[in-house]
Amino acid sequence: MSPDDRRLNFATIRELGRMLRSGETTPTALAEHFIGRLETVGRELNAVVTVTRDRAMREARLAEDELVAGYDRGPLHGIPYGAKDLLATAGIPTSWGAEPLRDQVFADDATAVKRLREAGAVLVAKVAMIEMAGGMGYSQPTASLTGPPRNPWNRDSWTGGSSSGSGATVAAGAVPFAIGSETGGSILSPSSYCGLSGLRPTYGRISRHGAMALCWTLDKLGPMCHTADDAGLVLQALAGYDPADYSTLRETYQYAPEHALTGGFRLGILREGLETVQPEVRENFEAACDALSSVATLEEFSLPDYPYGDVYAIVLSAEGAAAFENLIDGGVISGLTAPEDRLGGYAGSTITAVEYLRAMRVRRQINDDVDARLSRYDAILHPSGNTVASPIGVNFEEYARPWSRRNVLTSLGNLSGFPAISVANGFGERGLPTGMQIAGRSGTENAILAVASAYQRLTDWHERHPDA
Amino acid sequence: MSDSHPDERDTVVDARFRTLAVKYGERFDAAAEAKIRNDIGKLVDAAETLRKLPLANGDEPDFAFQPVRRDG
Repeated sequence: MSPDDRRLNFATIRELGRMLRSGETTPTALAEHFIGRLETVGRELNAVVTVTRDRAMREARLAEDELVAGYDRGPLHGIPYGAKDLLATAGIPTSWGAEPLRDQVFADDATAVKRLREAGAVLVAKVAMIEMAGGMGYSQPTASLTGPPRNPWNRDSWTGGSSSGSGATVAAGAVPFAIGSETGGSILSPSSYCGLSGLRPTYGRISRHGAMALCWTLDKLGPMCHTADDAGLVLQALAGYDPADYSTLRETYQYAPEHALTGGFRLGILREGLETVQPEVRENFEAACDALSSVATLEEFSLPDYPYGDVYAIVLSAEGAAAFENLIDGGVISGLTAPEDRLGGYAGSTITAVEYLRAMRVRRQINDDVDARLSRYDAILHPSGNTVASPIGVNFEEYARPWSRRNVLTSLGNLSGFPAISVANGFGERGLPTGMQIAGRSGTENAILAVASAYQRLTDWHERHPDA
Repeated sequence: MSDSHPDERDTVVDARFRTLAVKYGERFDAAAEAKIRNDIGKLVDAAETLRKLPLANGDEPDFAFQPVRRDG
């Protein structure tokens, strides 16, 4: 690989935009380059379901003609990207990561895909994912129709899930950014394991219309990128009210990168659970907090005592059983790849309506309480994951057993719908990245992006890339 | 229901599994039944934990029905 190729592989959206506008490259050249990366390294990592060559070249030619004609759609104009294969794309299979649904095709694009097209972005691939976004209770990396997704930093290790292909393709330099989804850690986990800047926006910030539903009150879409700044650029293109998705927020979102220069942040450090994370995860987190102390006031932050995991389990299981009722009744799930997924959808359908409503009533108390606490800070800090990625072929619950697999913020962050971004903050065992999550109260994406960008100006972890 | 009498928990788990068995029974071998019973048990325990939290009549769930005019 030439130095120029490597520069292109890992260029940020802003860098690619400068290259496009200076004439150093073109949208069709970028599409060809990244399609080549997807067909080689992307396939080797089991990270690609479909390379959308025809559509990509059509969109790239249009973007090119527009730039030549002086019509510039903004920062994503001509930038290739990958979409998690749970986002509907007209006429192109959308498998939801599941073998029985390999040939499923929808007539229309998901709203998120439409918005990226309108912003000039070029869809080059439907990227791999854990089957049914992990909603059937998987416990192993093999739970995907494309095979176990491999981590570009160490190919014998997993990427995290369920946005596994999104994580692998961006980290490997096979796409400049990708769209993932999160119901219970599916953006932050692969972003942490792959060393990316992955943003889980506020619930309702991005329309889920046309995306596979796993849990209506928990599902969110978000960008996975090389930098926090890139995540802000993609979020701005995706955000906004959509009458086809009642959960979308009516307020407009405007990314404000100039906020990144202000500094003087007030940050809460959540140390709860640090005693049960891998030593390198803890050390890297403490070092990251030290780095941020030059631009922030740091205070200890604590969580109120609620049974977050129990509330989350009831809500996810009940809504998941309803969302997949047809697939469960029809026996489709018996064709899933992971044996545990073939049985994981049944128990949720035995939850009573009163039990579900009680969980949602407790959820409201949690959200009111936590929002009041978060309102005192620009952001709170915590490790994104308790460990680095587990080895391929190992049950990840077993791998994490010496520590604690469940991050204390995963259930809470998703129940409360507040935004968080994972940024790389070092490396742990087997040369794998660790991550720090920067979270804030609902609607404060600009604040957490500002903190993340400040951290990325102070450190260079986001500029390290694998040899893939 | 983890703090309840074990027989009561087992009875609830058994009753819930039987509702599934009526509908899907032919799909479940012994190993499948054991896994599903275990999954149900975890949810029963979670629900019991939540049942112990105080909630008043006015404590509403964290969603609200919204009447929507599709024509805006």
